[in-house]
Amino acid sequence: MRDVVILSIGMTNFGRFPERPVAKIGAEAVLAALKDAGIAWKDVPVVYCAHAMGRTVDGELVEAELGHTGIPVINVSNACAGGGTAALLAYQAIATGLYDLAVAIGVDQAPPGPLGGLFPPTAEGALGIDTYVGKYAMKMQRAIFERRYTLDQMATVSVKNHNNACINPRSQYKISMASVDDVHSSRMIAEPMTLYHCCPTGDGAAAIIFCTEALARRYTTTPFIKFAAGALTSQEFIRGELADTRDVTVRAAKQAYEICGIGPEDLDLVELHDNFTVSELEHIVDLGICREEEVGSLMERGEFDIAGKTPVNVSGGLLGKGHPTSATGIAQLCEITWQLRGQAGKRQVNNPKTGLAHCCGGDEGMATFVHIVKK
Amino acid sequence: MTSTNAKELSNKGGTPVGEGLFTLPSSPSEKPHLLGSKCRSCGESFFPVRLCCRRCSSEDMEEVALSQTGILYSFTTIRVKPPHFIGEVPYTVGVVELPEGERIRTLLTDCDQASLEIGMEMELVIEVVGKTTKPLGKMEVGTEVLGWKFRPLRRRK
Repeated sequence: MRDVVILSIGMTNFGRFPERPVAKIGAEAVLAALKDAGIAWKDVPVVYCAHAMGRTVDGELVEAELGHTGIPVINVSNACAGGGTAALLAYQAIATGLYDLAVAIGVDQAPPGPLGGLFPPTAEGALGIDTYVGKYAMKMQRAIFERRYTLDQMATVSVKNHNNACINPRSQYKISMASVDDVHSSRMIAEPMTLYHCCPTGDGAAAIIFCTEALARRYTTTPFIKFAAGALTSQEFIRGELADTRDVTVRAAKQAYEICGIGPEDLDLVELHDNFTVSELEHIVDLGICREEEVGSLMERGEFDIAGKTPVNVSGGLLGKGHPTSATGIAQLCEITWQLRGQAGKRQVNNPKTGLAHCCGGDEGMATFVHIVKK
Repeated sequence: MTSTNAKELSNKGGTPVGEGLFTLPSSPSEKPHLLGSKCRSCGESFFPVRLCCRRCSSEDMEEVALSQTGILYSFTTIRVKPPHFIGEVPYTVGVVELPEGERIRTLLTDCDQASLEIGMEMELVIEVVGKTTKPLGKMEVGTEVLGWKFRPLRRRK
C-alpha cells in the first residue's frame, strides 16, 4: 500500500440554503479544495461523492456544475458515515495504485425537523418508534439509570461544542452558552432530552483531495499531512436495542489504531459523532480515550476543551457546527487538516500532530468509520 | 366485562400496521402475541420475522409467537411529531426486553412519563394507533391502523 497525502481541503458554511441547488453547494466545496491545492478541475481523474438525502446521481450533478470532464463519478450512500466512506474509498484508490489523485465530496441538503420524511413510510415509522430523538432520549434515560453519566455531564458536552462553534466561521449555529442551565432550559424534545442535547439537520458540503507523496511534492512543501489509517465497520451481533452504537466504534478504532500504530493516548484532537450529547461521552470511551467511570467528570473538568488534554470537537461538532449528513465526515477531516497545518484561527489547538475523525451512521446496522490523520 | 377487554374487542375493526407482525386475539380470554423468528441452530429469538439469524447467520429459522410480557428497559415521551407518525404528540415510547432476550421498540399505553420506571413488568396489547394520512403498504389514506403497544402489567389478585 502506498502512503497517501491529504493535498487539500474545502468546505462551505453549514446552515440552511433551501434556495441553492445541491450541486452548487457541492461544487463550492470542491472549488475551495482545488484552490487550496492550486490544481485545476481537469486534473482530477476520479470523484467519490457521498450524499444521503438527494438524487442517486448528485455526484454527476456536482461534476456537471464544475465542467464535464468525463471522469468516473462514484456516488456513495452510507448515512452519517457517508463522507467518511467516500474518503476511505478515495484513499484506497490511491493506496492501491489505481489512481495518483482522487477527490472525495460529502454534500447534503436536509429538510428541517426530525429526519426521516424523505424515506418511504414503514410500519415503525407509522407507529413513531423509529425516531433518532426517541432512541437517544432512551439512551440518556438508560445512562442516568445506570449512573454512568449525569444530565449535567451530558449538558456540558453541548455547552463545550456550542461555544467552540461560536469561534468557527463555518458553523450553522453560534449560540454562546454560559452554563448547563442554557441546555436544561431549552425546549423539551423527549424526556430527559431538551433541544440543545440534539444536533440540527442542515445543508452544506466538504471536499478533500488525496494524492501520492510524489504528486504532493509538485504542489506543496513538507511536512505532508498524511491519511494514516481508515477503518469502516458495521454491526456485529449484540443482543438488544440501544446497545448498538458502541461496539461498531470500539472495533473501528481498534482496527485504525493497529494499522498506523497510533493509540488513543497519542491523539492531539478528536472530531467525533456528537449527534446527541450522550453519544459524545460514549464515543470518547469507545475510542479508548478514557474509562467509562471517569468520562463525565473529565468532561466537566475541561479535559476535552480546546486547551484540554484531548480536545474533542473543537470545530463545534455536529451539535454546534451542524450536520449536513454526508458532509460531516469530510468536514471533520477538513478541521483536523486545518488544525495540523496551524490554520484553525481562534480554535487552534496547541501544535497538534495527530487527529482522529469518527462518525456512526444509520440505525440498525450502524455504518461507522474511524480515520486517523498525522503530520 | 372489564374496560380492558372492551378496548381489546373494539380493535377488531382496524388493520394491522404490517403483515405477519402480531396475532390478534379472537376472544377476550386470548392474549395477542408478537410474531418473530427463533434460530434452530443457536436458539436466539428475533422480532420481527427474519430470513437469517442475526447472531449465527443460519437460515434454519422457525416462526414463533414471542412472550407476551417483558421488562421495561427504557422509555421517553416524544414531543416532536415524526414525519410518518399517524398518532398524536406527545406520545410515550419504550424498549421492552422479552424473556427471550430480544428488545422491542414499542409504543406504551395506559401510563405516562411519571408513572413509568425502568425494570417494570409490561404486557403486550394491540390497539388502534391512528388513521393513515398517506398510503402505507397496501393501506389507503384514512385507514384505522392497529399497532403493538405495551402497558404496565396489572397482576390479578
